[in-house]
This record gives sequence, structure tokens and C-alpha cells, in this order.
Amino acid sequence: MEEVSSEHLASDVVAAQLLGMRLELTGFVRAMVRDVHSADDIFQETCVKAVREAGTRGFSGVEHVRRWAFVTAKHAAVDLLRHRSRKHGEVALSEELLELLANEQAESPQSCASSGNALRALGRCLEGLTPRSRKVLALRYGEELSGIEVAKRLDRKVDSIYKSLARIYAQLRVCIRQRLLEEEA
Amino acid sequence: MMEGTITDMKEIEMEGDVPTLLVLRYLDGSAGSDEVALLNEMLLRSRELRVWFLEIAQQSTVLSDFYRVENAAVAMAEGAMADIGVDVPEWDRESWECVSEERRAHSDRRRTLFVAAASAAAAMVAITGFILVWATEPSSASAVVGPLPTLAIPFEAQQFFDGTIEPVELTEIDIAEIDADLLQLSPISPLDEIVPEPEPASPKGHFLSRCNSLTFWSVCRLAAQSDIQQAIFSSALFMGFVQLEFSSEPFTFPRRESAEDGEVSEDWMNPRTPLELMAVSKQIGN
Repeated sequence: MEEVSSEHLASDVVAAQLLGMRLELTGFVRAMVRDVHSADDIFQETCVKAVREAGTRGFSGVEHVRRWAFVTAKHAAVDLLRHRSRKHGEVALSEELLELLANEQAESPQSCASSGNALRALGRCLEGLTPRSRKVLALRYGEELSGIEVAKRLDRKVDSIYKSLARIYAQLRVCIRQRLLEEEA
Repeated sequence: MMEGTITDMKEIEMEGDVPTLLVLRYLDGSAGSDEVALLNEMLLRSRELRVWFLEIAQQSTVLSDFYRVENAAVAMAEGAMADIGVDVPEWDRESWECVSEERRAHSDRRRTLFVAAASAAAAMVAITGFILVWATEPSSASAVVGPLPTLAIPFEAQQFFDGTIEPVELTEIDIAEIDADLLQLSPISPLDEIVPEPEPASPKGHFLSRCNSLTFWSVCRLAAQSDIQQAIFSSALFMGFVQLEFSSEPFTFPRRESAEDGEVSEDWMNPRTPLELMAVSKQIGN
């Protein structure tokens, strides 16, 4: 086994960094695989690999860990998409695009919107939505229904559900940013 | 497609136009192969759109995470309640309201019964306590009763409250005399000649008029004799009487029918006035 340099990050430091990136990394994988449970699995797999890597070759710094994590997660996602494509004929985004997305995400600074603060801000912002909007979100994300299923459940047109979701996203995005800025101030 | 065109499209989509809907459909797995190909093309051409796409995906993840945490918390709470045997109603988690009208009504009924029982118990304790205090410390009791001018208590009773007459000094003869005085104030008529009292306008007035009755006096008299058991019994009887007076149904004891003629007989078990109720309490007490 290759000896890890003392300048390399310890395994627990790497694990802590990855946990801090959980929502960001899971969101990135989700954009590729479109399934929150598969995204969770890939995140866990990436964490295990990262700790092993920290004990063997090691990471020179937090930026190294970040880049490594996104690339590794992208590989896992591509494997899954290939498997789905073979088995179910599922059409996904091209591997060229996934490569671009992984690199750009890894290069971008860690988003504060993926932190625990964002979750707390989201909780408060949700209170500002109308009951109808909250219902749409609860069905879409609480019950993991697709837009079509939500429309059926609420007896509304599919288009109107997606438009509602788009509007809610915009509202929440503005609200969360404001809240986070207020917290920072 | 030109870069500028894509940017324009992104501005449109921020208002909920086609690309946003396309991304949303892609993320929930509803997009068809044509739509995925279109989105792929758009994202390959614009870095700005790719950043925005990742932002939307991340926002979806944050929302999913939020609801999963919430669902887990609700499941844990429900599990804990089920473990201790609490009947968990069906919740509309969006509004956090119990959706079952039947359960809601049942819950209201239970609450009403609980409040009624608690009120009755509290009143019982208060009255019994008052009587016990009075039996030992008449002056303290009079301090409580003094500010109640609407209670037109018979003269002799007022003297008890004022402490002018010490309860311990009362003898059977004294009590017999007081009874005689009371009989003069409210002579007992034959039951068939009793004229029903006019009903007061309000429940409060009704209650006060009943307090001005010999039932209350009976309780006071028993307490004055320091016969605690009888005092407690009488206070219970008094409370029951007050509750019956406040109920919507007119108060009557079960009537006994004569086996011979089928007519309803009105004997001492069928009192209709506080005076008669006092007679019953006396008989039971003795």
C-alpha cells in the first residue's frame, strides 16, 4: 500500500468535507440520473471511495477533494445511465455534456445554497408560499410524484403544474438568497 | 443555435417559459427523447444555461431533502405515539390539520366532557372546602360570603356568616327554632298546593334565586353542627341540584306509578322545589 504523506488530508477531514458538500454533490448527480435515490446511492459510494483514497494516495487539499468527488460521481452516474440505456432504452444527456457539467461544477465555488443554512431558509420561505403552492411542492417532492402525477392528483392541467413549479422555484430562489444574505449580514 | 439566442431564451424561461418547463420535465423523468435531445443541445451551447440547469437541479434536491427530513420526523412522531398507544389520526401534512371530521367531532366531545367534569370537580372541592372552613372558622367564611350581596340568605343564616352566632353554641333546640323561623319564612304547603315558582329571565338569575333557597340553608345548617360527613353529603347534593338547575331539562325525580290506577303519585320521592329537596336530604342524612 502506498504510504500517505503527512501533508495529505486525513480521512476524517475528507469525510467531513464530503458531508458538507452532500446537497451540492447529490444535486449534481440528480441532474444527470434524475432520481433522488440513485443520487443518494452514488453520493455514498463516492464517500466510501474518497475515504479509501485518502488512506492510499491521499488528497493534497480541499480543492483536490472537491474536483475528485465530482469527477468520481460523474463516472458513477455515467455507469448507471449506460446500464439504464442498455436495459430500458432510456435516453439521457450526452456524456460530453456530463463531462462539461462535472468540470464546471467542480470549478465553481461551493454554493451557499447547498448548506444547512439553505435548508433552514427554505423552511421559512415555504411558509410564505400559498397553501396551493405548498401542496404542489409536497406532492412533487414529499411524495416524489412527477408533474403529470401531481396534475392528476390535483385535477389540474399538466402545463399549469409545471408553470406553477417554475414560478415557485423562482420565488424560492429569491427568498432563500435574501434570507442567506440577511443571515450573513 | 447562437449563444445570444440561448441567452435570450434563458431570460424568457425565467418567466416560466419553455426551457424551464423542459428542465422540470427532464428532472422528473417525464421528458420524452426529443425533449431530452433538445435540452442536451441547449446546454451544450450555453455555459450560462448549464449553470442555471445545475442550480435548478440543486434546488430540486434541497426541496426533496427538506420534505424527506420532514416526512421522517412525522413518521418518527407517529411511530412514537403509536408505541405509547395513542390513536394517530390521519393528518393532512400540508395544512397540519386532522382531516377526519368524525375524529375531530369525537375529540371535541371528549374535550367538552373533560371540561364539564373538571368544572364540576373544582366546584365540589371549592364548596366542600368552604363548608369545612366554615365549620371551624366561621369568621373566615363570612369574609368570603360577605361580598355576595345578591345571595339573600335568611336572617338566621346571615348571623352564622357574620359570626354573631357561634356554630358550636348551637343546640338541637336552637336548630329547631331556626327551622321554625324558616318555616314561617317559607311555609311548607301540601305538595298538591305548591304553586310553581315563576321562572327567572336568565340562567344567572335562576341560579341566584335557587341559592336563596332552603337547600343551601340545609347545607349551612349541617356544617354548623360540625357534622362533616353530612356537610360533605349535603354539598354534593347541592352541587347536583345546581347542575340540574342549569340543565335544559326540568328537574324531576323518577315518578312512581300506582299499580292500581296507573296515575302518577307525587310523594316525597317526587319533590319539585328546593324545599322538598331539603326534606329529602334531611331524611337521607338522618
